[in-house]
Amino acid sequence: MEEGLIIKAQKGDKDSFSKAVLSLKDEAYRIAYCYLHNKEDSMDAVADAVEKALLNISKLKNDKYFKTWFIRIVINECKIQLRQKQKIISMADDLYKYDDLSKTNREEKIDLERSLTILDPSDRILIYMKYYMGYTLEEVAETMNLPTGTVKTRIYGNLKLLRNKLEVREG
Amino acid sequence: MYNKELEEEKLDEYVEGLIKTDIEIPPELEDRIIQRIKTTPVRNKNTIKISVNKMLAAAVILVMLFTASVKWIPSFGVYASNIPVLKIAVEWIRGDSGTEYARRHGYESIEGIVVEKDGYILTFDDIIFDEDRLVFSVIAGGDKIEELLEDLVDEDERKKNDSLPTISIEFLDFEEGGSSQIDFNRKEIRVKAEKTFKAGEAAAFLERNPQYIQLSGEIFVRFPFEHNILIEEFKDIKIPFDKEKVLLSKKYMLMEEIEVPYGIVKMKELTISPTRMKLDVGFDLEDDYLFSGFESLYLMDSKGNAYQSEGLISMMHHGDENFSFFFVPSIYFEDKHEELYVAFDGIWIGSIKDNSITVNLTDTYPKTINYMGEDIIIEGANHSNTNGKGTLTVDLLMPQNIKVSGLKVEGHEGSFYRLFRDTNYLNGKPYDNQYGLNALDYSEEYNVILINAGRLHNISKQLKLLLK
Repeated sequence: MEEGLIIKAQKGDKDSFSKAVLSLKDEAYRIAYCYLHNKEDSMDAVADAVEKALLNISKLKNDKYFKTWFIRIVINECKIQLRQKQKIISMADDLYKYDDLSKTNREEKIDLERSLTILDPSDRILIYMKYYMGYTLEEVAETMNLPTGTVKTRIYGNLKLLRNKLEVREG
Repeated sequence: MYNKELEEEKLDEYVEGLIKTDIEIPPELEDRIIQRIKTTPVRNKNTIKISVNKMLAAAVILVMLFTASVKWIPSFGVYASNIPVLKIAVEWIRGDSGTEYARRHGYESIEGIVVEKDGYILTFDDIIFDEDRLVFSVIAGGDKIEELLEDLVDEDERKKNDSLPTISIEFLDFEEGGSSQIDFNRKEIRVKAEKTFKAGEAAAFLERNPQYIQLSGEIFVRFPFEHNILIEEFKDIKIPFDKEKVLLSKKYMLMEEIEVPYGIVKMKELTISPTRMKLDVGFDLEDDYLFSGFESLYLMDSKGNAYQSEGLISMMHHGDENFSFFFVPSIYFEDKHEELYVAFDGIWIGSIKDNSITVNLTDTYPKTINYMGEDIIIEGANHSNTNGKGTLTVDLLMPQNIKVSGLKVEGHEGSFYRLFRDTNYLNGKPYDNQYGLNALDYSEEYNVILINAGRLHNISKQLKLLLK
């Protein structure tokens, strides 16, 4: 992110704020989608988070934490949406491209995704952030405001359960 | 022997081997974000509404700014979008639609004055007086003010620190009370002030055949947690006043009542003054319940013109059961109206017994509490030290049909100030509110009182008021 962008945004420069959030839009959307599994809801959650961030950017004490701060707002918006709608998350058909996948892999992929959907969104997001978005465990912990140990336990604990399910299915 | 790290490595490999694709980003996402940024109003930090210490009202003044939307009232046979709302654009410091409408009908402002002391200049202008209120603007300027403001305001016109330069006005002819709106830049401090008169207060003043309106003023800088710093004091400010130019209000006694949940609303009196109309209302509700507001309250005339609240004051509370509501512009200068209609889309009613919550800092949050049958979620509570004083912050997630004007801690003088309110309150979703209270000693548990809390009852009512 361009240096000084956040400082300018904090002074009321909407263009700078725009640049800053647009640089994070993909990541924000993916996180929202992981929670909500619905395109419109996810875009709403990101837009709501952008609005909230714009109104509160002056409260950010250190501009280098903007990304973590903004992603946390996105996550909070997703939680608010989930609370409101109490949806049963269903897998989106348009989520994946299967171009490079073998049939076997595609079936496993679908199974993994179905398995992930039965997880609580707050557990599912940890797995998505690590394996889909390339966050380190420490980065996941920082963004989710959790101890690293807790993040590790929850990710691997859930993966073990999911792998056992898939292996039983294959067997 | 079980090797945890090896197990985790194998799980990583297993998952990495499966993932090939990514969540597709909708092409319309970028536009949606850009639109949202464009349409989000960013509040100018320098324009705030506060009650200046010396202008605190004796009665409780609740400042509620209604939105411009007017709801549909079926019995009028007029669609909401067709109801004209008489709203005249006027620069905030000059007053509101009511004062502007009066000026346009030839109701003369009182001529302004300029006072100067030791290089500090106060300019009083846009002064308008009727039996309902006194409205005026005050601007502090001059070289010394510019020097002061350069220390407090940066080149982008934002405050350099938490201090607030302001002007305080004391009315020597009237009881303490009033409210103001303050703005400042690097050159001047601007205040719009309003003194709403109690029943008979203006008449008593006029009976004395006054030659002046007498005031005193102070320019000072307010610092949070610390004492204010007085910059300059002005005593014996005299604004020349001509009693013959004052147009007296017209009063109409009303005897109408409307049934609402838990009791009755009584329309008592309508006062029509040149700059504003005032409706006095009484409430007769069951024990344990109290009135906390109307939803979309307005007056309408027989031509379908709607009159709403606008400006610094929209509602005054005179005691447990009596309230006054204000509407602009006034019908004072029009041909006599035989009737007006009062209408609202809902009523907020609060519960005395549900009026406090216990906030325990050792509790696990979020935590749900019940207010009048609805869930309020305490999302978090935190006590932190800032500048040596403790600050308690409380985060509440509230449904749309619950409102709280503020919070207090039992036994503590100050009130919470709202740090943040989620804009979801504008679009029908549950909304976050974060409140902060400074200078509070640490305690594990606090009894927090909900100020002017209420639950919305969506009932549309309208009532004809005969003006005889």
